[in-house]
Amino acid sequence: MFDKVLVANRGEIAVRILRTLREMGVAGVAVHSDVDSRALHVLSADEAVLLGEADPASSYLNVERIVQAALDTGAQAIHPGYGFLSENADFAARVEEAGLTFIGPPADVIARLGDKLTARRLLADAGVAVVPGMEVAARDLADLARAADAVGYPVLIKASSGGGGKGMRVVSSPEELTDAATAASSEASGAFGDGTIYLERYLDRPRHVEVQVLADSHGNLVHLFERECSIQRRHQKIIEETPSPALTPELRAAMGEAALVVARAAGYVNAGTVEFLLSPDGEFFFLEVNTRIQVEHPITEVTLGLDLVRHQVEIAAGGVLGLRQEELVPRGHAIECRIYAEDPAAGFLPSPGKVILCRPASGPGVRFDSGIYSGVDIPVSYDPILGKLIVWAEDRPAAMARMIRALRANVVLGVHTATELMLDILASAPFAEGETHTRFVEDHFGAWAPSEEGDLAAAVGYVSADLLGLGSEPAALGDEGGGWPSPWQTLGRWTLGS
Amino acid sequence: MRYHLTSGHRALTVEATPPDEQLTTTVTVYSGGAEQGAQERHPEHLLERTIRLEAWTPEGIGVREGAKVSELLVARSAEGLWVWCDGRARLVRDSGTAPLSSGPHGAPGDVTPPMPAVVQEICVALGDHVEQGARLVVLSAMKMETTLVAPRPGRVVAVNVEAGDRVAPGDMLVEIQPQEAGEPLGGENG
Amino acid sequence: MPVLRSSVDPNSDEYKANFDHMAGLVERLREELTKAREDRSDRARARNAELGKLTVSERLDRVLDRNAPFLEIAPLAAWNMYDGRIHGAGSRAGIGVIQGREVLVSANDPMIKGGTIYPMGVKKTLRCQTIVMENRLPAVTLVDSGGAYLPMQSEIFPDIDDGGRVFYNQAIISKMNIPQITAVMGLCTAGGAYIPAMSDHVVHVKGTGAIFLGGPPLVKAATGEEVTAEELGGARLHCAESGVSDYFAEDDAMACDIIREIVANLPPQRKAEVARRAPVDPLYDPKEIWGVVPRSLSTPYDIREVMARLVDGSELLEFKRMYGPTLVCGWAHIHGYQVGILGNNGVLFSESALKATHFIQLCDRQGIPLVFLQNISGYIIGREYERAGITKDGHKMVAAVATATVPKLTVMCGQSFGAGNYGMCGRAYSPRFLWTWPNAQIGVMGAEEAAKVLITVKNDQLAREGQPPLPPEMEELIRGPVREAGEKEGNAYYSTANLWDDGIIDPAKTRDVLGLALSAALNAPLDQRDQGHATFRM
Repeated sequence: MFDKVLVANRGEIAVRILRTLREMGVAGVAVHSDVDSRALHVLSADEAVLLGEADPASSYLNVERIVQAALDTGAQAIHPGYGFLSENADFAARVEEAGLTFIGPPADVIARLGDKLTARRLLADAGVAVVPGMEVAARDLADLARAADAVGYPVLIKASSGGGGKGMRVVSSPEELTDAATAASSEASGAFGDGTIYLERYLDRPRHVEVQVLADSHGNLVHLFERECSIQRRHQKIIEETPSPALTPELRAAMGEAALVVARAAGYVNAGTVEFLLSPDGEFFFLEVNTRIQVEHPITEVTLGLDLVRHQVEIAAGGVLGLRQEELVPRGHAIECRIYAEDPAAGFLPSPGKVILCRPASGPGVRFDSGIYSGVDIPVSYDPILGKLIVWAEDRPAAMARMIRALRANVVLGVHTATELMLDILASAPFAEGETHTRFVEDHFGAWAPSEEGDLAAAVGYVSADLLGLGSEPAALGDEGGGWPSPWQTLGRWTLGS
Repeated sequence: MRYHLTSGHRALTVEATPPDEQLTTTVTVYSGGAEQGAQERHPEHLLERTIRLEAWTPEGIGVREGAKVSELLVARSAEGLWVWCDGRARLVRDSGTAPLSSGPHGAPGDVTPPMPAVVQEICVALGDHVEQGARLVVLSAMKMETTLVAPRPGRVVAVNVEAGDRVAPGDMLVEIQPQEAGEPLGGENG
Repeated sequence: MPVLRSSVDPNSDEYKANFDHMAGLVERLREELTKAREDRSDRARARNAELGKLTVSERLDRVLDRNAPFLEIAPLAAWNMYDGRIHGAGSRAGIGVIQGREVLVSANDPMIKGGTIYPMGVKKTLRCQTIVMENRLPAVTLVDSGGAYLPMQSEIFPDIDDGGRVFYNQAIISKMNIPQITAVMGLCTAGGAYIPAMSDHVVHVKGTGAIFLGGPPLVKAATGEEVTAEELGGARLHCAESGVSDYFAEDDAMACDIIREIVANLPPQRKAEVARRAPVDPLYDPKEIWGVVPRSLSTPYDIREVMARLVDGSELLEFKRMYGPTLVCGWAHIHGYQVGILGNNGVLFSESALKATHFIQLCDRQGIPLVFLQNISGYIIGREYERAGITKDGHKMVAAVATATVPKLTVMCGQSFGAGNYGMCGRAYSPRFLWTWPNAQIGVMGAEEAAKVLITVKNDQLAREGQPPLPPEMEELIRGPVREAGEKEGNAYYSTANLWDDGIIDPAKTRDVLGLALSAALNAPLDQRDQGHATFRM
């Protein structure tokens, strides 16, 4: 086993990985950019190394600085988390070349699967159904336009090395193609350093169901059942659950088996996720393999009683996977709500700023994996995820009730979040009936707005706070020399007799 | 006491009776803000509650209404007071207190970012004529790209930023002089 | 900068006894302040509500930024005068913030004798106008007054510091380009009509606000015409026909909102620039002043212990520490503002007076505001000191104080006797603001000394007439009334009742009060200050 592992990430996932490392008695090294020097992942580590300035290319995408940090601190392995360099084969190769262990699949597997086009060809050959679309990357716009005509509009433009909705655009008519392709390519090159894009047919209202797999380097391979991730906005998941309300035992078995076929065909090692699109009539298509830990991995952990990160580290250290497929039986139901700094009343625009108050929910069956604390700044440079609220209960209705209870108590103030929207989704009839698909939010909550009741309650809250002398704003005054505040601003409501 | 508030996007007027010794107050909420003038113009109240307030923690308020009890959490920011009430968070602004920032946050038609961001690309040059809707600046914030477009047709008279600059709401990134109107407005009407 | 280290033990019995003593004085102050704010007859309250008016507190609350301090001026003026219920001399006034702008707001209280003006009310108004002029603060006036209290009209009307001066000042203030905004929320009769008329902006409340030179009773008596107040001088008449008023308000609340808008539209204010630093709290809790100040005024204490609880970081760069040690002078910061601070550590000797003169001149030339902490029994007396010219050294200090033009702030921290009151910038030396601690005593000399002087004079007279000195019981007959008068008329409440100060304050709040006042004072430019000094007798 390793003595020390470097976590090449930030935010909630870095915190989550460092927690497991500490439980394993493995020292954890955090890396960070200048704006993250007091971030929670830095505070959760045994050692911390400054990589550079805020922009990702100077920090969390800076391969040489990260490898050097590992060498300097004497770390033997690097855990990439998700996003950033996690699915970058060159990075994995560079880590191995430096004599360190990359906690994830081998570089060639990442390269094969990470390039979605290669993956599509590979899996089609292995007999797994794929969504109709381009088999090779678009060389130019004309190429893209021809392919779009061939598969028929609407089409979905995707970044070849993408994920998390970045570089993804739905195009419903030929006129929109040019702008969408330009934007997608530029976004992809900014986020992943690779502007290659392709397209495939856009399926209407499919479900997004994925299967977690775990493989060691000794040929042992299991799947850890599915996660239903259909509730999305901006092509990004916000609510996930397991088991999926849409799967019959037969379908579940078939998809699990398909995931194992995919993993075997790819020579997969470590934790990975095989994503499928499930059509309303029960047909499923292979979408892609995510060769890393997923954001939503905790719902699998709580239904199976596993620590996926611990397994990742053990597998990377050459350990033998002790899990047997037939012994794996999920228990109960789990739901995850992602808490982003975003404003659902303004098209889910990111809402950076300072988290002024954070008081996480707790109690039976509740887990909050986050990278925030009261007073932390949410920088503009990175993904706006603040944390994930995860609940487990004996069955789906109980889990829904528990999530509603937890969301109501999961206080985050200072930036906008979609907590109220998710509360309304959890309490809605379509959700209760399990009618989840990737257009769920547009279809049922497209015109959603924060409730008037909430506005009134907040107004009463404001007045209450004011009457108690709590939380009133600092007064403004004309500019004072040196920019220091006057006591007229700092003393708040103050009188001789108070 | 009377408050003119904006809670979320809603303008509200709130009357609160002075709290007695037990800190009991009756709070009445009316729709509409300060521009509505006197309270008589919106006699239909939206909500009336008689509540007893207790400061529980530096940011927590206990609210009792008879035997009913609930908790409010508040947090102060430069833009206003954040209030958390049972899973619903609102930024509440009070016209009875002066805003901390002096500058207006971008009049309609100004090319200013909707949030703090980094300039990715400038799509126009000084002197360009642009049509309404033309791409002006591509911004990146939290790894999402946003394109600012021309609010009206006109000529680019200033480009105040470069790619890589950090910008915030209120910053004028590009200034556009509207096209000369063909005819002067108004005029003599004998 | 050097940090003051306290040698006071907060666990000592002495400290605790002092603390309890001051706590009692502060508690009484709170009670008096509450009484001044709340003690109104049910009839007056009912009448106010019936007319649809807000109370003065509600008006102030409405017009001021709620999230900013309100530094009330002379809340206990006219304390115990007249019938004992003309609280605050019938009005409330103070410095507050409207739309981020420091302003002076004053408001008649119609629930006190219909807002009629008593002699002390005129004095308070004039004091407010002085504050407006010296500090160039916009003046907001909420008028609701039945006019002069006629039974005392002779004390209100003609003199240079009587009622007429108010309107004279309004003209001067206007000439100085200081905005004056007045809301007519009740009657403005006769002379009172000039308060709005001489303002730059007049807001007029429908129904209750009325402006006229002669009210309906006078009109009826003079011409037989029968009119209502609203017809004679109401908002519609003055906003639409006469042009006396500028803004029409449906009610008090709307008038307050309009005032806020007017203030928001005033041209921006550039404040005087003085040296600033990031404000930091003192190392010692200001509330510990309660335990630092001895129960008896005659017990000496180190004024540095007070300074350590007033100034930022408890940092004081002392000037001439080893010379004239009975006066502590030094540079410090309060809420980030640089100040020159002077505090008494005993009787003023020639050296202390010279040191003060030097220090005050330095501060004045460098544009550094001065803070005086008065705990002074006077200048040293005796043959040796007279021979050494204590009077001419005292003169230098008094002259330096009088001619310094930087903002001067004075706090009465204990004793304030004789020329010490002058040298340490008493009221007559035009400090921008002056506050009194509840334990303070003011007089030509202490009551005990005054009695002794009187007895000595009497005995000398008896001796000249060849008679024996007074027997002890006769001495007591003289001493008793003198002591009584000294204690009554020398105490903080008598002082504040007569507007010898701007208010009695909780010593623990001194730091905040000074910080607020410094900020307010900087609304007036420093660059007009006259750099000349009086001729010094050497």
